[in-house]
Amino acid sequence: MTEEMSISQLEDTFIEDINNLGDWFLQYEYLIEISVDIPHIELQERTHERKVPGCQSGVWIILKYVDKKVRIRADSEALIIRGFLAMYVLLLDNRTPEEILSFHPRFIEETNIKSQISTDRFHGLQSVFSTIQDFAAKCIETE
Amino acid sequence: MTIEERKNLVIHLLSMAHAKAENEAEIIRNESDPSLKFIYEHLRKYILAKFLLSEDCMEDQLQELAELSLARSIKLDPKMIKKFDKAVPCDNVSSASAKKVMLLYAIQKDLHIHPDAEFLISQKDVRGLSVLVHSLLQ
Amino acid sequence: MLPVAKIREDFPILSTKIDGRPLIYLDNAATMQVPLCVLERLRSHYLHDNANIHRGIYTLSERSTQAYEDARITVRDFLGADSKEEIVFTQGATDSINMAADGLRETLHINDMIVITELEHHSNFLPWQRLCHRTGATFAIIPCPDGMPDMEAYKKILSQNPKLVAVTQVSNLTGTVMPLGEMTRLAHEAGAVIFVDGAQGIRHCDTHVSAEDYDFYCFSGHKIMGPAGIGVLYGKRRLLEMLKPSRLGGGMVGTVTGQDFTEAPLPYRLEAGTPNYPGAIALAEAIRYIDRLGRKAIADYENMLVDYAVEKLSEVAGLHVLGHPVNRAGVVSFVLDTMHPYDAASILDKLGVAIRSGTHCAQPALQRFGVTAALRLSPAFYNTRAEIDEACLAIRQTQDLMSRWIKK
Repeated sequence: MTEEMSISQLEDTFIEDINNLGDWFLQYEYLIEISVDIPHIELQERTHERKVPGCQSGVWIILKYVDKKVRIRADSEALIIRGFLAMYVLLLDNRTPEEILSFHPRFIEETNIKSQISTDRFHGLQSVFSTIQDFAAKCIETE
Repeated sequence: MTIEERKNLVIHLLSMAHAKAENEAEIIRNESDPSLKFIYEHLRKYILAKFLLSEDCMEDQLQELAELSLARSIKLDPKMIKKFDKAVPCDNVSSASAKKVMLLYAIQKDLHIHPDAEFLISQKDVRGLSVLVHSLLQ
Repeated sequence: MLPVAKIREDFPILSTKIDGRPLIYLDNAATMQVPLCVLERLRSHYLHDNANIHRGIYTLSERSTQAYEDARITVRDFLGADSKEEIVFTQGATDSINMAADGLRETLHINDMIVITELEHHSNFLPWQRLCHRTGATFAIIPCPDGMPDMEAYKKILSQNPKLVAVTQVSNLTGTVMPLGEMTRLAHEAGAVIFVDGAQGIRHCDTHVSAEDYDFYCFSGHKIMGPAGIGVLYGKRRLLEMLKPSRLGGGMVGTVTGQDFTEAPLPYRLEAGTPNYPGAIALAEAIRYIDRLGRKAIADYENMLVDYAVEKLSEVAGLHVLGHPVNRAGVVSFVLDTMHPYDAASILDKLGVAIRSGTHCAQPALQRFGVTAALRLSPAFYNTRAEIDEACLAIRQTQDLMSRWIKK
């Protein structure tokens, strides 16, 4: 069902959830809950190339291009970051490179998350998203 | 998690938070001869829970508390509020005053009291509100 | 006894509220808050005395210059140095160390060795590491198990006649007060020069660079209530003379021709460009503030507070303090069993407690403890036991919250 929605439409449901919760306590709990389903990247898979630079807690991403879709696995040592990563995975996993490249995330601007997270964390999240977009661009190039 | 599952999660989290408020209201209702101190203590907890503020917030002015509460959220979806608190009518809650009024309305409803409306609205802080509630529960 | 309640009035920022909750600032190892008198001194400088220094002969320039040079004398006395020519103003400890490492480059060769300890902050680690890469010299690191330097290993390495030993006065991770008396004596016996990084130590130790025979010493102003962007490099005169200036330009020259130039005398040859003279003037005010309170009174109170913090933190279940130094000053770092320091600090921030999480620019030191990140609490003389209690309560609340959230 979610595949029929555009990434932006799906993002709207997250924005609505986060705004309805409003309070940081509840938002953190929500992020941790949605991260439960996201599979872990095991220790032996956490190679240097898969590490996203600029994040205070370790963040790893494994990206694959299968059947013209980008497949994303992401993990972090910090639970709250795993929560944010879960959102990215739920939004961007199993999408075409074109869809990923034309997506502009709004959830930080359109919720109070911007005032809740530090500049460092903000840049870390940007870094994750850029890594995914760069990969998507490469997938198109090699077509 | 599906979209529906996430929506249910949000409702669940919000209702858990508001259950705390309901709990405090029940404590006040069930106390046979509550002292002013008792009412103040539990009314504070009720208000902080209602506003989703943490227990050791020290602010006593109602307007300030409403603003603190609003500062944590941009908008409340009216549909969501109806789902867990059917009795509260809701327009676009966008100002601290409206939030304060909503609180006073909820206090009336949850404590089963019927104060004079003007007198109720004129209360500026939790202390004053406690005196009013105390007088009504005698 | 320090009148803490009265002292807190000198720091209005301590009355800040986060979400209706009083701020508990416990990250003083990162930076200290600035008292009103220092702010006032900065303000009055800009209102009445501001002009570039050493440049003009008009009144304002004279006043500015005088204030800057008086600040140099204040720092000289604070450090117990012999002469003001041995006090170089820099941008901070990191700048001082980089300046010294760059300045020594031509004196170091392929058979030489530089020694540091495992506990060093990256700022007292990387400049020396790179110096060795560039010159082919050997880079040796003294292990520090459980936060204490292995003195046998140190002596062994000294037998290889290193040129320089760079060591912190107090570790910013474990709070270890390094046994500098012994380390300095041994270094000198082996013919090595000792560079002491006082970035943390300046707050806690009553330092007398001349009496203690340090060859170099550095510190940052913002760690003792000065503004950010000012620091000091001290060196024995003959050693400072050896440093080749890495920054060239106005202020550090004698004469300049088309092909060459001569250098100004110390300390100016190492102070190219317009220095942060308002910063130096404000730093001197901060030093006077410390002297008014009394360095011993401050040290006694802060030692009591950090010992209290270690005691209270050790009572929290699932919390492990990193390092058990014989002498501790200023900081206590720890990890929690059930959550990443990053998550803990995020939640603690919402509870009004400002403590630091991360690598603390001490990755090698953390690796020794088998972790990649930690939480660090560092009280100052304007903090109270009640605040430590609150912080420990907040840590417990954080643990409870997290265990509730992840139990499903």
